Amino acid sequence: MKIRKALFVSCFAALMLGGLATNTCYAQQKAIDSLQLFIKTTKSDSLRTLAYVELTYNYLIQDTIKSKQNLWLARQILVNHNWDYNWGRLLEIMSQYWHHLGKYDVALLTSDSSIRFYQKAENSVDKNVAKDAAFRKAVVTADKGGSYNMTNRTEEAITAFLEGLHLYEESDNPEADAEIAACCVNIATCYVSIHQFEKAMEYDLKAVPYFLKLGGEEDIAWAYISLASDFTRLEKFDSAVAYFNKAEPYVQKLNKVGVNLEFYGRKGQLYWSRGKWRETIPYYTIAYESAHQIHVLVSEAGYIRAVADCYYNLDDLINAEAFALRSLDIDEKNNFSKEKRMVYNLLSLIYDKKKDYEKAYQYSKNYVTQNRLINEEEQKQLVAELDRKYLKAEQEKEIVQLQKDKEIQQLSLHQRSLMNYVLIGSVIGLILLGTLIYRNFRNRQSLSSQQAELQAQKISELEKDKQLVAVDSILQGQEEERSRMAKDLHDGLGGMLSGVKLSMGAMKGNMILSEYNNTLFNTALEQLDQSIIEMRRVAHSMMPEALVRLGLQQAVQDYCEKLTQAKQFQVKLQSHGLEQRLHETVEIVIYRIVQELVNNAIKHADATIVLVQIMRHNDNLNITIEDNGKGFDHQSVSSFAGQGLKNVQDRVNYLKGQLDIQSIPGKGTSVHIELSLRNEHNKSINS
Amino acid sequence: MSTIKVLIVDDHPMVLAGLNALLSGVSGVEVMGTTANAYEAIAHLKVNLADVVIVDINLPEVSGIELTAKIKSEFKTVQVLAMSTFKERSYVSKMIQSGALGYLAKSASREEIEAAIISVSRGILYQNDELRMLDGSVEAHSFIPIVSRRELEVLQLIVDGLTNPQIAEKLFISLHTVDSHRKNLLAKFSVSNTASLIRMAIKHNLVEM
Repeated sequence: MKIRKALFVSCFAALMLGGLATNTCYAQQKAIDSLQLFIKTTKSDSLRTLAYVELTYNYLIQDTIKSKQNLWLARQILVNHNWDYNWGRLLEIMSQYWHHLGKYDVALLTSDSSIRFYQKAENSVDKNVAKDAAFRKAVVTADKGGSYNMTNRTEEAITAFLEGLHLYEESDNPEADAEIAACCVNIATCYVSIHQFEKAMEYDLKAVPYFLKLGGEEDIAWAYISLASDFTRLEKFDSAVAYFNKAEPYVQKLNKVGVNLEFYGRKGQLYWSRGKWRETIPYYTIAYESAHQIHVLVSEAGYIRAVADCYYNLDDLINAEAFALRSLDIDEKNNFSKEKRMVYNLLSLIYDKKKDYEKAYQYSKNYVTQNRLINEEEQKQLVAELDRKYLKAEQEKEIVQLQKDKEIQQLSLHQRSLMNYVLIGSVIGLILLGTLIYRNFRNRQSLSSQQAELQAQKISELEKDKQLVAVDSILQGQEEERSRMAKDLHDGLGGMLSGVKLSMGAMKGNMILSEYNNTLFNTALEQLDQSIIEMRRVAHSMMPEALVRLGLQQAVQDYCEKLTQAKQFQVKLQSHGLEQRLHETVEIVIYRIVQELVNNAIKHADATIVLVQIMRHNDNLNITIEDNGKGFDHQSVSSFAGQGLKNVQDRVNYLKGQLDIQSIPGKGTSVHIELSLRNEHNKSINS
Repeated sequence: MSTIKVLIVDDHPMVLAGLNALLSGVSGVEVMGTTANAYEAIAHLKVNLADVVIVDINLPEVSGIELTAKIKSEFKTVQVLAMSTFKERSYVSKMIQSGALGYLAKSASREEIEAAIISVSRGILYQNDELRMLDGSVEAHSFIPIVSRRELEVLQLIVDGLTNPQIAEKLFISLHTVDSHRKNLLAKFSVSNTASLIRMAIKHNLVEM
């Protein structure tokens, strides 16, 4: 790609050379040589075609046949390719070729084709090609204006120039400024030809800053002269004078005949249009002398006639006659029919003033004849126009031929496209493969993210476990502490108090006491009894001895019976499979659960009947605590009962069990707990 | 009337001392020894057979209940009077089951202790509040098992012919829980299959047909 770009640049260097070469034949030949060398050495067909196109352009003025040869060479290569830019360039030059041969309609059609290719090329991936195509499109569009202008379709010409101008303005090509200025001048010229001087002035004015920027002195001079002319036509004489004054230093510095002709002719016109005949004459004099120098005879004749007209208006009939006859001489030699007509008219007027009626009549007759001739000429032109239109149809056929060529090219492209399909297929395959790989990668990523999630879950589980372990250890520690304290109370304090009681009992029979002291002694014994009972109650509530010594069933049975003894409520126990003792810790935890739930039922639910059910089936143990109390709404569990339930939940969690609470307000509560004794956790407790 | 030879087994020295002091003042009762644990007690009995052994339930290593059973099996003539700081029914029951003829709280009065020893030495069950507690529980035992509300719901649905998954769905509980309830019911009615369970349920008029 880089190489291609470099070649592109070198090719454009050749193009630039070609562009510059128009100045001198030598330089042009050099450009042609370098292009031909380039064609021989380059390996790129694309660049070769462009070089052929450049050759076509370079030969265009000096050798039309060679020019056309190169055009066909380029076309032969391009027929096999779909290079939009190259096609655009080929058609562009082809259009110029037809324009050069005066076949403007063909040129226009070719330009349109060229524009279409450039439009396609604008979408090229290569930014440079795309930009260049955009610029070339502007060039071709402006060229169309030239072709329209040549066929007197001024309004279409203006449209084309304006479009070209717009495109140039969008382009950042360094050549754009010059083209913009040229476009403006062309537009202005068109407007002048349809007598829209205001518009002409507008565009001439627009061109000025570009010319100033570009710095070409002659161009600046021309721009100022054009503007001055515009103002003259608009009868804004002060502005016209101002621009003539601006132009003047450039004109004098340049001292070029062509420029002088235009400057002095136009300046003369300024005075002439204001009826300042005497002031007009010197300017027109310089103008026709300049015209003479460069053999622009029609201008020379015209300006001489204008001088004659001035003299006529000044009543200097001798000079008027002399200049008019001089003009007529040139007109007749060169058969400038329109000019002739005007001179005849002028002469008839001069002789009329001189009262030489015979001559006046003669010229008047000449004028009429000439006028008729011109009309006939115009008639002929009309016929020619029709003829041209016929030719156009012929040329359109040629275009059709061109398009056929293109079709052939596309046919060959079709084969190519088969190849392309294979390539596209493999590209799609690759993309698919890529997609699969990507998806695989994504999957793996999501898999790893899932793993990360799992890990996070595990961590959170572990943390939960840790929390549970913390709760568990608190629970266990609590129970151990309670167990130890209960044991201390029983064995230590209990033993001591019992000992004291027994000793005092022994004393009782062996002492002789006064009645008063005897009463006191008995009271002391009773108080001792109360102390023992109190101690026993405290110890029991801490840890029922039966639970540790005899197991869960006995302990729960004792608990239920003790509650039932009070007769205020009935606590029924239903148990199954508890003959074999469970691990001490599990038993204690279950006992606490039962205690808490029964306590809740009696204290908070005002239940009168409570069912405690502990059923063991192999390794499964389920606990049901049911009451006929007031029940509760799950949402409005009182904080006290809530704390109780939380304790239960903690303990159920400790046993890795499932807690299910069913409560209907007014109908009692049913708590169901399921747990597995095979559970790893409970096993570890068991071990 | 010969004196009643008494052996006291208690791991608490104060209790031993107190009881010893108390019994020494009772005529017809002779404390022939005190031991702190089951091993010492058995060893002592092997040498000097006692009429009554007062056993504390709460002994280290070998409990009073086990000691009682051992004494009763090894020394047929020796009577056991249980003594404990506790008054739990289960303890009383266990001791009586093991062969003790009486159960005393350690806070018992001198008179009670005396009466108990005399009664037990004669091979008569010493009736006191603790022992009367045992009777009540026996009469409470009824054959119709207690069925929880949830179980009753499950039972009704079983009778209605629903499968475990259907019941689980209907009651918004897990299949495992339904299974637990079913097993509980089978265990309560001492039956081995659903058909028998349904029959029992209908027999006890627990379900609607």
